Amino acid sequence: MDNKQRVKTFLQGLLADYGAETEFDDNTLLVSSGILDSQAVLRMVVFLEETFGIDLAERGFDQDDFDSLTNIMRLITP
Amino acid sequence: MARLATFTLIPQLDTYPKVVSLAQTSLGKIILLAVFSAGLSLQTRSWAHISLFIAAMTFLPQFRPVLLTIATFGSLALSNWSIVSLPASIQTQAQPATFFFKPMIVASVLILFALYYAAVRKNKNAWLAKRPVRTLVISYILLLLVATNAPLSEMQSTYTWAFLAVFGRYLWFFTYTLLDRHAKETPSLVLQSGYYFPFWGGSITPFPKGAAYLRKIEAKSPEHLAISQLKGIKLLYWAVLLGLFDKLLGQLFYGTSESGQAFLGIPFSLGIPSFQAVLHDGTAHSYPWHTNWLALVANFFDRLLWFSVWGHTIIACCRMSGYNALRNTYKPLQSTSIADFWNRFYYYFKELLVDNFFYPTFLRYFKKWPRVRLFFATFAAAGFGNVLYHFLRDIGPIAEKGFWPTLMSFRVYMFYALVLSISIGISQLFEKKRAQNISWFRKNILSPVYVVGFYCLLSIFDSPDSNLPLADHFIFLLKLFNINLS
Repeated sequence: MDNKQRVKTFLQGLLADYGAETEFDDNTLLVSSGILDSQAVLRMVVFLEETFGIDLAERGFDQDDFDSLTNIMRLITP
Repeated sequence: MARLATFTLIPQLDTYPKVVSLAQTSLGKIILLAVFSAGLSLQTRSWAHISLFIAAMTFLPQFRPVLLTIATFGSLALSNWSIVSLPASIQTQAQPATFFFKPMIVASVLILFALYYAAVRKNKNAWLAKRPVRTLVISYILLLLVATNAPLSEMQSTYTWAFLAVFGRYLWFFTYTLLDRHAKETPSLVLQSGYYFPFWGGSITPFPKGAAYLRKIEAKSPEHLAISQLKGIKLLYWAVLLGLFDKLLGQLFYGTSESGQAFLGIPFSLGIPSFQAVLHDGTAHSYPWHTNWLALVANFFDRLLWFSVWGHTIIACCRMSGYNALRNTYKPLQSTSIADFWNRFYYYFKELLVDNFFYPTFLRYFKKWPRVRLFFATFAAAGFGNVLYHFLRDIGPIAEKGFWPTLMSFRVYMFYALVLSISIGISQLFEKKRAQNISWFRKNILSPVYVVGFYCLLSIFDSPDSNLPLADHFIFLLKLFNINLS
């Protein structure tokens, strides 16, 4: 499974937990549209740390980075 | 029945296509500005110049960031540089009479921060740039410590405290600039200064957040601007209605208004004593337990209403300027958890604490223990950050009493923040996901009642009077349950 698919599968699980539609586009706004909340963003942070070893402490935190699959992929492959 | 369910007191103007189209024409813009100015004149004495700045930004949206900067500094000058508010103990000393004193202090603070910001951006790998927010806040605290202990002459003292007063007022605006340094579309620092104490008002809490956020919510087309402005008008008139309701409740609860006359000539009042009066009752038994309850609950709802009106008016002006910001207070009585209320009551203060304290802590500490990690980050924000913010909010007591005595006088607020942060932490750990089925009764009745009840009781310790010992607050708490310690 490639990185993008791994992130997409994780997001689909997250959306299912929130009772939301699990099919979405790469540019679907997941947080600013209100589908997911800040708690979900924290779960995304933990997922990226554990799966890809990304350390956001040095980079700085911007909730926009988690708003869509495209934005998240930019964190993984800058 | 369906009509009743969708009824709103203020019409949803921003959803009517014809109104949105009209609002994009010159005539429509003039009508919106006139309607808004009329409503604003009921809310603030500064309505005329605020309306003028909004009009300029409405007709020249392509220059919005530049106009915002001009409006912010113009507004500051019109208020006689009110941001330079010297502590009372310093005001008695010799004051520089020069016209340039206040603007010079403001300029010196902004220039010093600009140099710091440039150093942070230039030396990305230096220790300074690794944790620039922490360095800035610690530097400010050290400057306060030096100012309270250094043997300064009267003139030196005046300049130093004026500088520190302005620095303190700008502090959290500066931290947003530092946090936004990695953002994709950040304007130049000169334009960002237009967001520092913007002309639409606010407090030392940035309304709404920093430059990167404002850039994100800025109207990008005439249609977006029209919708943003219609939402602004709706919110303003909602604030006007809430303000009238607040005055009506004030009359019914306390029987007095600011003018000292009965509101709308209503002759009736419950005559509830003020919260300060019952809190200061101490071990005396002037008030029965049910009166203490009435005073506490009345004060809580009065404060909630006042706060909503204040925040709505600021955000309404912000929306009219073309920035479609979220409300500061959003239906707090519908909160389903303690964490939810914290998010709904004072959104931009919560965001300040989250951005400056929660995320930096969450991203660094206890990564192997998820629950401890969340709890610790919550404590860093709602506990530590909350106390620090309030301690630095007003440097008057620090200048008057000294650094440590002022810190010690914050014991009651420290207790408040400790209970608050632990409660929010627990609330977050056990918060149910939205997908889970919650009964209507639990969601709409039970949860809001227990959440509001919790915050109402906790408000005993959220007292502005730092001279009253913690024990007196507990005595009052017990008196609510008819337990008198004497």
